[in-house]
Amino acid sequence: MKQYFNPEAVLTTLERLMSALPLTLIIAAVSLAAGMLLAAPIASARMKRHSLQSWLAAFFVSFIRGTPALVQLFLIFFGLPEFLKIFGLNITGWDKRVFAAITFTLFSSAFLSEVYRSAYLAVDQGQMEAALSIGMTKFQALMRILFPQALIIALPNIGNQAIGMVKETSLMFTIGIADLMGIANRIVSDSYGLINMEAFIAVGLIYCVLCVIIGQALKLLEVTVGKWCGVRIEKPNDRRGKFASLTGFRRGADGL
Amino acid sequence: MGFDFKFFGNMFLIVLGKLPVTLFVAITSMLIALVIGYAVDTCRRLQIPVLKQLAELYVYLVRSFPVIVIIYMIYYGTPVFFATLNDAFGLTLPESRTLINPYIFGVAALSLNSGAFLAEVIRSAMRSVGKGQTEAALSIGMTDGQVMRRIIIPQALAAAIPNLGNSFLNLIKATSLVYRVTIIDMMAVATIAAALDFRYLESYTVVAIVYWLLCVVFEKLFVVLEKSASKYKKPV
Repeated sequence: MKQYFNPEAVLTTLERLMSALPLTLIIAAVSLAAGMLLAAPIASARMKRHSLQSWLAAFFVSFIRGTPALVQLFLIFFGLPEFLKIFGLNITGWDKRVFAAITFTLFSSAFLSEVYRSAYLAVDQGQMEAALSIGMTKFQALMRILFPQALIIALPNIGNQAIGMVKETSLMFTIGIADLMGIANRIVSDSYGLINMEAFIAVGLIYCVLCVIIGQALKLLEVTVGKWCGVRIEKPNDRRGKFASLTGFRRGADGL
Repeated sequence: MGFDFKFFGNMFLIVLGKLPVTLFVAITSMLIALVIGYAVDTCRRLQIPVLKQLAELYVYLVRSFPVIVIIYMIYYGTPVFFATLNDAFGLTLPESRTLINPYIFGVAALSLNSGAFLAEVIRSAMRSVGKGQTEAALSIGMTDGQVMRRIIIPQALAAAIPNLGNSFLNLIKATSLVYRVTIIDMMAVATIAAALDFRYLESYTVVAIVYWLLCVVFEKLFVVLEKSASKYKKPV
């Protein structure tokens, strides 16, 4: 029987793929951090009633959640230079990775604004009223009462978004960035098509390990933040088997 | 070079012409994924020894892999798979990527990906139906099949539909990636038509609008589905 599949190739391609791993992590981290910052004003704009801000924010979130990430990447990559030309800015010299970071920032900010919104609404409004009634300023009430509880509620969902963001950055190669998928495609062409599936299995394994590491880090983060906020976390009796609990996926999480 | 509105308008007809391709890939993948998800969940629920571990491994792996990686793996791996099948069983399946219908790559990859997520959705939906109901139904003499059909599945379906809708919307967005495995869908025609004039922004804007409208329509559809599936909850 001829040998079609070469398991050793998985290991040799892993070495070459590792060189692109920092790029993926940096773009994912930057996009997530910027997205977390950007999501706060979007969430607060959505919760105002019947104003231009809330309509704009709702439209933005609906558009970002309703269009594929790949299409958004192309829109930003091809469209942002055209758009900025109107203001006289010439950004044709920008690095492609900046476009990717901008796209993923906008992408994560839309999803995270929904997370923030649901966490905010999940905290009992009576607590805010009580805090205000004993003389706290709105800022004090937000920081001391709402924020710790909302943070605990939001953290698992933020974690899921983080894992989703890492997987979403796999699309960067379509605009020519040499990330994990880009190097995998280069490996395929360099070996004249001999090493094809093995390279992508290696890429998948790297993402697996990344998800496990991020999942474990998130579990640790949840416990630490819980202690800091003084809230005890009641974990439901989760009998999902050892594979599922490793990645730290939460119930109801969805991919992409 | 500003925004070419005439080109923008023309692209709508071209892109919408390939909308059936996207819908076909999405709906077929969803149906197969439902079957996969239900099978995986059944293996876990009934605690079948080897299949349960395999099912958990499948869900864990596929949820960690990005969709594009799965698509490329199926694209490059299917000829290899067919070749080994040919050697083992003496079949005459095509062994070259150009001879295999590209829809097989797209539908297989997307249904495998969604199947893992649907397994989790179905699992949580089945568990949301109380165990007491199964016991009560069995105690009045229903068979296992009747319990499933009459008691568990209707309630699980009502609980699952919001998450199923969410998964389906993710699936529709994932179909934007299958043009890379030579399926001529909306993204493919947008890229090809745009390359003639270098009008990439206009064609991708059209694609974005079509996907967005598609998602809005299906969102509303799933709300209607959920209402009709929850009819049994009305107080008597």
